[in-house]
Amino acid sequence: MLDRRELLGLSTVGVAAAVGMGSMLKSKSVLAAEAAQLAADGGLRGADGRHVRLGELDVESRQDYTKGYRVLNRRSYRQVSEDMFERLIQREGVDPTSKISIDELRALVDLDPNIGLMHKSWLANQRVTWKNLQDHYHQNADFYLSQMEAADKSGPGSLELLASQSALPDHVKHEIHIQPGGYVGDPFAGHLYHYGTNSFWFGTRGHNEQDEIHREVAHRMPLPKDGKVRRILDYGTGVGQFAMALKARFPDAEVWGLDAGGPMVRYSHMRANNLGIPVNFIQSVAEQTQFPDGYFDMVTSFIAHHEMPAQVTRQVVAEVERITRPGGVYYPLDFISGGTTSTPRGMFGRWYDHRWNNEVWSMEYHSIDFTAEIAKRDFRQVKDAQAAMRGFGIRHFERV
Amino acid sequence: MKEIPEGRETYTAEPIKSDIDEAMFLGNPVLDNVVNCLVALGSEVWACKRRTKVLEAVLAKKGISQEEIERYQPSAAEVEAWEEDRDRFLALAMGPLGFQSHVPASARFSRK
Repeated sequence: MLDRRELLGLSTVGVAAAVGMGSMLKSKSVLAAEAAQLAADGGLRGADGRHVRLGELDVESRQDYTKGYRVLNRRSYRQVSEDMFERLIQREGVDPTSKISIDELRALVDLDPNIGLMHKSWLANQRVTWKNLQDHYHQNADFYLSQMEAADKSGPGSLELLASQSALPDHVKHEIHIQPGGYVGDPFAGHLYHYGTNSFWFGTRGHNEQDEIHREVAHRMPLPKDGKVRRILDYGTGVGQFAMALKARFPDAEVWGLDAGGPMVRYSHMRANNLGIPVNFIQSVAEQTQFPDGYFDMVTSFIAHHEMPAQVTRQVVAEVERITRPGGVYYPLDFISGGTTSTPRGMFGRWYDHRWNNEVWSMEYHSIDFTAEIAKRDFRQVKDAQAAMRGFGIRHFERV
Repeated sequence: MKEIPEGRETYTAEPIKSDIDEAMFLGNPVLDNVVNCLVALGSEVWACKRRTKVLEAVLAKKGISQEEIERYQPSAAEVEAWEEDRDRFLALAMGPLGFQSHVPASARFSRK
């Protein structure tokens, strides 16, 4: 019987190297040496550092194409589209410095097919991204399910899944980012999300195949005043990249990654185990975690709140208040929020992302001031705090 | 898309589907579908070009000439397998011509 790490193309050497990596990024020469070792050991198609190559060359090539197309879209099409939009609002007599609502924006978007073409092509590319990945995992379902089944029962980290999926609330069942099946509906949701978001990061902030972005942000997370970090929770953990990065930063801490998606936490657990990282993953909604009162020294989330209803955000903040110990740190990362209107240009991008990239809850998220919601509870906002990630707010709170 | 083998626990729940395949951005659903096709087709063309680059590099290292490649006669099994892949290619690249796009880009976001 094949060992799961052999199936993944992860050799013992590769795993050992990954465990010893700590929070520092690897040099290119170390990554190249690892990749060569992994390729020599056989397996599927090997790995480049901690990035397992997609299972077939053509799947990898299509992914390479959609990644490139995303960059073209961002660097070229978007600028053209925004310029066209500026001309359109001028023609329609809209003041570009005024703030407009969603409905006012909606009245404009169908008026220029050139603007539509930019968004259409972006979404067509998004569709190919997902379909290419989904087809591959489903065509090889037995193989990939076997990997997860073997991982479910192994460590070093633990995995807790809901016995029944019927209790999941509807708000977690949407196909966010038009990912087919969303986070709960496809058995390979974690696989799809991981490789799909690698393209997203590349098109917006740079490479993240080695979890570079998550590790960099984890490195900037502030400590409680007493310096004690024994237990950490990362809710809405997705595929566990931030939880694993926090474990690297705080190797002695008990780290938990929590997500509502069963396939998401299964994938996270499998990946963490293959890398030899002892993080615990649990399937749960964030508004009702079942952890004891005051259990955590640090609670984080990585761009999760704009994917939940405003009311659920409030419930989650209350839950975090309950499970964070006095003096503990709460630092959720997400977009800067507050306000249902924006400049025409600002509303332009926000609307399309909400409506057609299926960011179902993003407008609700923007309708509240997330930072102010936290401040309403027993948290004290730290003055002059540093941003852990540019553009995602400075929400450094201490539990009172 | 292949069905998941029966009897396997997948820990999934029924998702709430997006309506992206019914979206119409260009005032004419035919145009929308053509864009879908073009983008998908581009991904296949690039996959072929990239595979060719890999093949050429590997073959050159093994001493295989271009002439040998030109003369190659596929077996019946190869022909069958290649046709199956051609059909998958067509479904991805040309399948979107069959989408029924009718929801305008400005449609209210009512699904919750």
